[in-house]
Amino acid sequence: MYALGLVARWVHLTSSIFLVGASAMIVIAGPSDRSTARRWEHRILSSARGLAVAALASGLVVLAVQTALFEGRVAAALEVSAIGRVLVETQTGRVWLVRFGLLVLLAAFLVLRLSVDRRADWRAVRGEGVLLGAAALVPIAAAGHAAAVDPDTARAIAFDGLHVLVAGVWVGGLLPLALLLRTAATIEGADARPYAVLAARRFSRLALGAMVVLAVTGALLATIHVGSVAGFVGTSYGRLLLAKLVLLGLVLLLAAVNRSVLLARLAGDGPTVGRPAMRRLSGFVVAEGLLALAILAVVAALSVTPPARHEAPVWPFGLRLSIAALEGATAEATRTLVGSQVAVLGLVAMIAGVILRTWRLPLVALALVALGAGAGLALPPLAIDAYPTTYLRPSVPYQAASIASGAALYRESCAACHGSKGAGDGLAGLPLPRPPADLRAPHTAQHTAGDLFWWLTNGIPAAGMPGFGARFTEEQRWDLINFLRALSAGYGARGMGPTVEPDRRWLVAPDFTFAVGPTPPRALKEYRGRVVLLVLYHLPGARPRMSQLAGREGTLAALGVEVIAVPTDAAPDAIRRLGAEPRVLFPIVTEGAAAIVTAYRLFAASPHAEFLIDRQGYIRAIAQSRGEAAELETLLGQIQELNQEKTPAEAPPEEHVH
Amino acid sequence: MRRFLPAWVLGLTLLPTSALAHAVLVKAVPPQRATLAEAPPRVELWFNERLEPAYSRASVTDEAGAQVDLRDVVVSPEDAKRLSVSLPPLGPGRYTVRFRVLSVDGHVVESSLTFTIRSQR
Repeated sequence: MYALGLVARWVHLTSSIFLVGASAMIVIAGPSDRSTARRWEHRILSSARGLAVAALASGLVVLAVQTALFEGRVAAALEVSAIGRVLVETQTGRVWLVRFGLLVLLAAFLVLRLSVDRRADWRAVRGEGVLLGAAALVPIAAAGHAAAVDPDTARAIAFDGLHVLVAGVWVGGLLPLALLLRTAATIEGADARPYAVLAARRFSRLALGAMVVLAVTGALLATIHVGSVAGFVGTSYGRLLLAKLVLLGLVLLLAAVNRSVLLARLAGDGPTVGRPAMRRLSGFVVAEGLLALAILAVVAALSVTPPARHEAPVWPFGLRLSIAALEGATAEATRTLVGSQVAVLGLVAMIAGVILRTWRLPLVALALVALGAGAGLALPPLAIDAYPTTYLRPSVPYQAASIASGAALYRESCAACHGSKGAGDGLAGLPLPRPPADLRAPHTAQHTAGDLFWWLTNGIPAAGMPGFGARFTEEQRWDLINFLRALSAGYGARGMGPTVEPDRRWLVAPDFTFAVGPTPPRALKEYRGRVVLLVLYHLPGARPRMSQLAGREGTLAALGVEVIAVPTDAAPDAIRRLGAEPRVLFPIVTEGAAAIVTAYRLFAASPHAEFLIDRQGYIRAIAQSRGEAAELETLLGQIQELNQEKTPAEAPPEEHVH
Repeated sequence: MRRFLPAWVLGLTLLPTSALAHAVLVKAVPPQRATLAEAPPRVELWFNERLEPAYSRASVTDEAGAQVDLRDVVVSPEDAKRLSVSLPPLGPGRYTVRFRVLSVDGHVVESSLTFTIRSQR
């Protein structure tokens, strides 16, 4: 079914694109009275009729396969009612209807063979062929990956539509042009030679513009659908795209030879001039056309492959390059800086070599040497060990519940070697070949979550670290990684005090879901845009402080701060125990308190702790105490400062993952 | 050829190196693996792509595998990325939410999540 769908898509895409190109090529070449030229035009028109039939037939197969996929059963492919449902109720189906209708119109139009004896009629009829072909092709963008891009759906569809339209004119025009050149290169076709040369020149100019448009829209679409180097080399979608680019490179190479060498030889008049060149050019253009067919096969495969952005990339190399490797390494940083400057010089020389004619060879040679030397100097210090999972994104979000279950797993399985606090000082770790890592160390910036996932799964044999892939589920391993992230962040937060430091946003507040009595659960994330004061309290020790906060509820509300209070003993009757006076108006967490306490205790271990979380979701100040009453003005001042802070354009915390 | 070389260089530099993780299921209420004291009135699922209502389904089953939801799956008319299904008052136990959704670009995604309702004290 998959193979059938793929072949049908390929045939459908190719015939739809070739229809546009064939009609466009006739218009590009223009009307002619020469009999050979007219014969060519008729041959192209009759193959266009064949293409239209192929597009319609393969379109039906594509629809049937889609129906089977949507319904989840193969038999649905042949059920009229199921197909009807897809046509009416899905965007894919509606787009198909529009396109199929236009294709039928185009086919009928081609079969009618309208009279084109008058020049104006010729223009109108042939032009209409191009328009109908384009109208039937472009909406394909609204049924592809671009349709699911969000936000900016319309922009993505516009890029995609432009991309296929321009590809249609260029790629689809290749084979008709080759046929024209081949015919004109024969003895009998001599009368059409000037016509063919003119057509080739016009097409070449147009193709140049087409390539620029394709490159720009293609690059924009790649940023939308792939978005990262890892996505490019580590996913099926990215690799298919790379294959497409390699094939395109070959096409461009042929196109360059055609344009700069062969086209120039077509100059001159008289029936014999340029004949061998014309034949060779037609051969090269056919080769381009065949490569284009291969490219379209790759495109068909791309259209049924989930975009790289939605996939977990598998990094194929043992190394990756990262600026983070230079942290604290001055000599290496200098080396990289020098290397990058040498490479920039090389780049300048290369640009100069491309522009200037006189010194081209020495300049390009110099550029290549400088680029090579620059890369040789700059890149090695940037190399960091990498693993297949390096760019894997955590499938479990950084949330208190996950951190808490990670903490439990850590106590059971990791603390023996890595120590109860993660310092790498566990007794069981002493006899190992390499001392267990200090998990609190700030070097974690150099390691992605995916690196940790690899080590956890497969172990580090040389260091005596066992792999836990068989013992823990994937979810549990991510829980552990979330715990380690919180542990390391908490160690880094030792110095954080009760006052806000301007523009120091780094300590991400782990998200949590909580409920207050019978109210529906809420998430910390939903409070984004407001300052949150998260209070971890314990009765009876913190009663004075809690009474004080409750008493100033009005002031806090006026400042727009949301208070969330979490009893550290996670008592289900916490609200009742706080008592009636003074009345507590802010939420007291009754559901989910245990996980919140476990996670946030990593940032502040004191009996009573108050976390000030800014509008972007970063912890900005931590006040630790025993819960005694203290003057409230400091806290109010900090809240005011956070309220007045400008919201930075920085990424929100969930995207800020190491 | 030479004339469009700069466009290629530009095209290559436009590729950003940062990655944006897109989970298919963005958010769920009740959340994945949540332990609840009260039975939720419905299950709501948020996705990162707009859904085709005709081909987006979800079901809630109990530990025995019996379907317990009210079979009224609906893609929200205001927010085409949200799928929800109502629940009757459920007793304590572990429940599995299975979903199969079709996004507007014609891709089918199937997955599941679980939540637990705690027995009342």
